[in-house]
Amino acid sequence: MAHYAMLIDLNTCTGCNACMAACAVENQTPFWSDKWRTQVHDISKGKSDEDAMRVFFPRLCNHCDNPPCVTVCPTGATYKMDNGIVDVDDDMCMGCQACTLACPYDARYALDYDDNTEKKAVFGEETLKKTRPGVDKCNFCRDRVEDNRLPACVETCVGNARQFADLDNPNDPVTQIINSGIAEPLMAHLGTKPNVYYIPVKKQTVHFERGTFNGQKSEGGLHPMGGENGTTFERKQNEDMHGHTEHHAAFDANSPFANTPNAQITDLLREEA
Amino acid sequence: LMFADSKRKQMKEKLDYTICNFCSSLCNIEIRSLTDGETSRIVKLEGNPHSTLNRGRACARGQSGLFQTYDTDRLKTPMIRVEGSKRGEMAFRKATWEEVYEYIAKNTKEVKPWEWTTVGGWTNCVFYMNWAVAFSMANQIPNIVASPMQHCVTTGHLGTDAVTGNFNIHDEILPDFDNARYIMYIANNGSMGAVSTARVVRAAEGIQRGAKIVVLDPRLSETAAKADEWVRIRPGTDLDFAMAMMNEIMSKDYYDKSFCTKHTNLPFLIEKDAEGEWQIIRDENGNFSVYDEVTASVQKVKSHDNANELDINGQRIIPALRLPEGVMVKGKAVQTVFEAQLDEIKHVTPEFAAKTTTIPAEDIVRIAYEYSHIKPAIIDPGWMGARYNNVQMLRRTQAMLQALIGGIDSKGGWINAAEVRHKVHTTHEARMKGEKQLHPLATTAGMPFAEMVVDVFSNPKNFNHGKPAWAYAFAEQQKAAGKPWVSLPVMADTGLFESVRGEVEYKGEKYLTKAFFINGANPVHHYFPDSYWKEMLNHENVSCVVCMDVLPSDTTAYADVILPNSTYLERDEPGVYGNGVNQDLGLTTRFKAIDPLYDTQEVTDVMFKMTEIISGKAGVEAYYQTIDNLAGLSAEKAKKYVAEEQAKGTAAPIAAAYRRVSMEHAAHEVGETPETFEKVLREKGVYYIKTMDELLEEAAMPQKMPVPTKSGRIEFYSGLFEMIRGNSTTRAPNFGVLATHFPSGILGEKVLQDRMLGDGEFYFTYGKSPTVSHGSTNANNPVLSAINTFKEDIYTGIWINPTRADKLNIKTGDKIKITNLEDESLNVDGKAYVTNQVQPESVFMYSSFGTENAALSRAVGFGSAINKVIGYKVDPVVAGFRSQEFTIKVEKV
Repeated sequence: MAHYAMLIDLNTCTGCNACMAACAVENQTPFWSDKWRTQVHDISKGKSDEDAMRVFFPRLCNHCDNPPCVTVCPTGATYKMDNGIVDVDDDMCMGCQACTLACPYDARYALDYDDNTEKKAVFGEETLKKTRPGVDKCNFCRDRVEDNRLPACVETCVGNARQFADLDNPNDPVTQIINSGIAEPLMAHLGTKPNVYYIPVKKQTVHFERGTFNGQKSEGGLHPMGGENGTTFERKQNEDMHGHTEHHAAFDANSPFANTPNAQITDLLREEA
Repeated sequence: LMFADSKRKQMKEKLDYTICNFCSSLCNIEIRSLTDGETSRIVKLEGNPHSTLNRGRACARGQSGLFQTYDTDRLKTPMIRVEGSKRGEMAFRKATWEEVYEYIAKNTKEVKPWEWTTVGGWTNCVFYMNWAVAFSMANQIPNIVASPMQHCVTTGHLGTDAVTGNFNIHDEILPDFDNARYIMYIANNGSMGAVSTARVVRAAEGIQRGAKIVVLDPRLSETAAKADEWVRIRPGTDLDFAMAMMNEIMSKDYYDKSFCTKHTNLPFLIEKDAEGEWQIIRDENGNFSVYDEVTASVQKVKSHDNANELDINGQRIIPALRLPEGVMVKGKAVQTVFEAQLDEIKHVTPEFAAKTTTIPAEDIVRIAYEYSHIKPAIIDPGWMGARYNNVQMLRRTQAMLQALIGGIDSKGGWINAAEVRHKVHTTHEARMKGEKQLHPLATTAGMPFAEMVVDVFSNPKNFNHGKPAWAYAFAEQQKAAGKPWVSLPVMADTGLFESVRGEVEYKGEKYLTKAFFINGANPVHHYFPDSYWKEMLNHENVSCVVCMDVLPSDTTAYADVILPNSTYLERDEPGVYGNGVNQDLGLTTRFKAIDPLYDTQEVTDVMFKMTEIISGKAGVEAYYQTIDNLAGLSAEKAKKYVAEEQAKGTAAPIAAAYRRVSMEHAAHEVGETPETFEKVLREKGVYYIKTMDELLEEAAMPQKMPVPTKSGRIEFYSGLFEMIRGNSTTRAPNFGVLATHFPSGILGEKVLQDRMLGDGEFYFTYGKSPTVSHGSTNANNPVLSAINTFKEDIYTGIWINPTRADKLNIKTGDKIKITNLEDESLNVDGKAYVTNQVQPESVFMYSSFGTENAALSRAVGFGSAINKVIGYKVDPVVAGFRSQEFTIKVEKV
């Protein structure tokens, strides 16, 4: 039996939103009401200019092995399949939203009557997939997976950031990456045993001049050029003002600049949680 | 509260293959439809898994493409502006095709061929080039404005191509990011952030294999966000950075000596003439001179060749890059191009660049070292270029940096697009055999192609009325009046306004523009500033504006007649195309997935009808013949097939006929029967001929055959700019035969360190969002519009650094106004997005928004338009837009 999981390499997600579009079309989600099965957040990190970071952060259902949504579902509509996929049975769902509240990953949304009416117009009545109100969420594109195809978001990911794994197959290269421990899931401390793994982002170095001009403090990296005596340039020889020298990776062992430590891996995910 | 189950389960799945239409990457697309035998509905698009170009991937625009077809805002019937209304007032009535053609004929009866101007977007250019260029020639219309030439292609690419020779209108180079270990992006978020899928899939592979990424950008762009090092450079100073790198690499001998000696013109001897101009030394046969290290003497090498290993007598030589003391030619002191080039830029040191770029000199020194020592390395040539007076020189310098490390047509470096290589190879073989090449649109690439295009529009002998394009007439007029003029205004808008207003004269007669045929282009939204185009299209001298498009746009609002076009998912196209910028050689085309939903038409059929209106029956005959001459598509066959298709009652008989001709022609070229060839395309969407590895083995340029520059070598001393210099009297630094440093132009002639900005003063920068392609209306696409709304703060906000915003008491979401300080009538309102992801001297805006046409129900009023704040300023070489050459003030409103 397969046990499906997803690996997301945050270092190659370019924030292109192709997965959002692919998922919305494949799964006919009410995107016009800002309802998505997957989203890519565009996150600003770092308070100061030298710490500025922009992280593209894709999110979706984590298909937990210990899914709170299944536990709370009063009708048994939400269920876990043998292959690891958590799905919702439309016929049994009464739309009570207990699962939506229970999910710590905010992965579910209510699909209401208005959504379905609009869906007929947008996606075409004859080709609608879901016709009942209730709850909707990512199901790893179950139909596609059962048809030996990849989930729509994985299939199209231009940055190859999203990869699909079968954890029961030790020869699966994506499983091997997950098993290497380089990737980690979201909020594992909750005990949900999620099946979406993230490779954390590398720390980036930001270059710009932090200096002073004729003793004046510069403005957040803005270097005031000019002045009474032309363009004399004076750089403060203070390590604190040289944040940019701290994180250089030694990519070339022969480089005269090779004496700096390797780029740090920061834990984006734990901070996010 | 339930609907009946849909019919979905009873419907059958159907796959068709096409090419995406939302940027010039030309990704191969798989269309999945469901059909019940009678009607079909497209349910999903994906990247075509058989394609080695985009490797089965598609970006957000590609994924959402089917909703352009199903967009309820589409142009569904022909329309005519209501009598008594003004252009731009959006009062249209529905009409039939017969009515609109009658209307056009009636309103252009007095319009002479040269008084027409056609405006085209990339769709026209890439997919309909054979028909669009022939349309101009057959109808004697020398005037084409093509978008995005001024925004991008002619400025950026011509800079790159001056060095590599590759000019192909569209993409020429797809770097081998897969195998690179060090990748730099300079002034370029286009290829990753604006998503050229072919480039991103490769770059991601490179990153996952451990390549280091260095990005120069004033903003933490989508590309910069992926960098190991974000070099937060001051806007407009990228050339300083690149030249300081070049200075380091040349002066410290970090370059690939073998490649530079063998395949570039760096060892050629050069001297300064009496006027102080650099002149390369040539003999009467055009042979160049080098200093041979083996014999310690000056020897000659061939005028056109790919390598400098042998002299003209076949003796083995080793040309020197640096000369010993006292080498003379004809009694005059000489230098090598290498030495001269280094002299030109020697003042652009890392310390000099540190002051202008605000990047510490030690970082520039280190990056130059790493770039030249970590092999293989790439500087992405840039998928977008204009903005500053010196951007063309920046792209030239980048190409030189790539050549200095020997990274041209080699694994992990730049790879020439297979289609370009194939044409160059064919041209090279014809040259070796002394044969003349026919059908230039189908067979010519590189500088010979660029020269042909220039000749078409500039040479009055090409037209029976004896007039060149108004752009050239205007340039001559400006030159005669001692005013600034543009040297190669090919397909640019320079002179158009003057022509509309009746201010252009040619040989003593007024050269007016009275009618426009705008096809798949949106200049009101994407040329600068918007007021120019609105005034022009509304001008009393203009008697007819015809717009053809799929969706209404800010430009169709100014039409008299709107011709609705089928979408790319609704048409079999008349052409067979190369596989975009792919490194592998292949052919592809478009298959329709569904029949047109509305009363729409095909471009080819409309162009033939327009030809009948403009030039009559004789014009139509000439049109067939011109297509034959230019593209090799048989006029006889075309006419025969048109008659057959008409008899069958085909909706677009001319497109259908040319598709058959094109299929037969292409099948013949690759040695297949038309049936087999079409079968492969239908089943896979692409027909591959050779892989990158096979092509590099057989026809690497310059390793195995000459590059398409004048000399066949990679040119540091530019044959192209030498030619332009010879034809003009301009001495602007843009025209330097060698790479020359000059400032961006934001502060005129001053370099940026000379002045500090005032309190509320900022540099202006802009860029594309991943969701909207240049000039397009896809901000209105329902899915893309929803994504844009999800990211509204970031995508429609005006980015401003908190240290500056605090001083102006501006917070995210505040309504602000930005005003062009060169011309305060240019200003736009918007909302602030306060972020430390933008350099403090700069504000940044995405260029994708601010649509005004209310017929685009989702895009209208969403975000702010950049062309309300950008004024009209063009460079002197190709009229590239200098669209960031001003400062702005920011005010809270």
